Amino acid sequence: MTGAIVLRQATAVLGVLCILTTHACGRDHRPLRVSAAASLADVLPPVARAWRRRGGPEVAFNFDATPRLARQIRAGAPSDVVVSADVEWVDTLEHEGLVLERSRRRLLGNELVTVVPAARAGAMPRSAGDLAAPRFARIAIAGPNVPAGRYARAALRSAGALDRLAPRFIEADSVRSALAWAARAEVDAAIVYRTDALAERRVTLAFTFPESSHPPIVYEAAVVRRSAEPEAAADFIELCASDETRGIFERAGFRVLR
Amino acid sequence: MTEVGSAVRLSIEIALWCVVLGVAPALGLGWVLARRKFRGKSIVSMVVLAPLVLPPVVTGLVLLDLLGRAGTFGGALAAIGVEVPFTFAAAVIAAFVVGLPLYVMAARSAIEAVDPRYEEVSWTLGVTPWRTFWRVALPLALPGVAAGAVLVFARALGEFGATVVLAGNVEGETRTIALAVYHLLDAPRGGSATRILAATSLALSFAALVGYELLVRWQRRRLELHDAYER
Repeated sequence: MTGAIVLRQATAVLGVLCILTTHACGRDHRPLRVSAAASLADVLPPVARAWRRRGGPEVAFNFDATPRLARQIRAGAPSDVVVSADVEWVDTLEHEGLVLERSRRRLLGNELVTVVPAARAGAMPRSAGDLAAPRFARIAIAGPNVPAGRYARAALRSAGALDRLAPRFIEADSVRSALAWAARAEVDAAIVYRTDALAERRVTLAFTFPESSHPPIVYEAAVVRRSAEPEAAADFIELCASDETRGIFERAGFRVLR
Repeated sequence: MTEVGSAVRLSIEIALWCVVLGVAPALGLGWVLARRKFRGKSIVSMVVLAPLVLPPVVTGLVLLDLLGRAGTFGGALAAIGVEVPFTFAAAVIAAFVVGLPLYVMAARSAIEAVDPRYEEVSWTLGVTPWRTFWRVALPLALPGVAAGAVLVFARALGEFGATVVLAGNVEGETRTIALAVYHLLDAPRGGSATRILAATSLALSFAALVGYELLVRWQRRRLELHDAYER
């Protein structure tokens, strides 16, 4: 009888140990860790699948607003590749000696747009000036350190609308949070990338900001200096810049830079 | 620096609102859970405690689904011109819902710790149950309830997940200490402001915990005193 109890207890302990150890032992191959801007969350997974088909290791993504990725890398987070939504953050990381200078590669371009919730009726805004109408009481915009937020503020400033609209800003964590709020119709408009607008069916693209109204939107990739797999990391960036993946980016609405 | 001041003031205001708004539900639910036996009591208890174990972000999402413009109640509220998300009220609601379980639990155990015979004696003397609650049970349980209030205050200061989802990050409106610190981490030169906010936060939390400890001791002494009189 006691034997049965002991057996049951031993099984329970073993079960717990299994759960605790599967995470540690399940992966014998270290995945390639890619820290990428939040706006790339839909396009990089298909690239990773193409990479897997070529026999590359598994890819573990960390999608977040670029400044947060930079902070994580600064703090020594395990990461092999970083893909920033602007050049400035890669400059900063290079300046701090955190990425390999020679590995830097400008991959993609994007456009800045205003979206409105698809569910809401009313005339579509056609320019930054139209956003001054009282019905755009809440405008979602990424934070001032997030690339999308910087571009958006620059675009509104050159339209002369920044000061008037600033009190209506709902500041989002990343461009994707701003998009999500517009999709849920919790805000009246959001300033996001063109590719975000195309990826979300619950928003309507209202207008595109003129290219000249903000610094060029450039996605740049680099190999993290502390990477344990710098060759694999460089290969991954190479794949992102190759004709093989061109279609993935173009279908999503990115401009492929060469 | 004004940003630091506004974050600290907001945090304290929101936490105080939670304490005030929670008094009635905490006492009501605490008393019902401590003194009443009824079908479905464990379900009531589970619903009340749920925000304690749910990830706050999920609580925030549930609240947004209820109170957002497209939400169950939010649509009706928007029709009469009341919009909750991204306002000060939203920040209070988020912190309140996440903190309420602590309040109710503290009130419940404080009331449970009061010997029900005091209340029974009061009833036999012809005092109404309502008056008995106010004159007998509540005074005896008060320090415990107050300890719960302090705990809610402290929890509200720390609220992040539900707030960021329901209330966003609007300076002077919903950007509390926790949110300000989180966003200053991304700023290239947010270092000194972050440290001031972190230090303020530590001081406030520590003060709240000391208050909690003192109140709990007071509660224990008070009940011991009554038990001593009895003998």
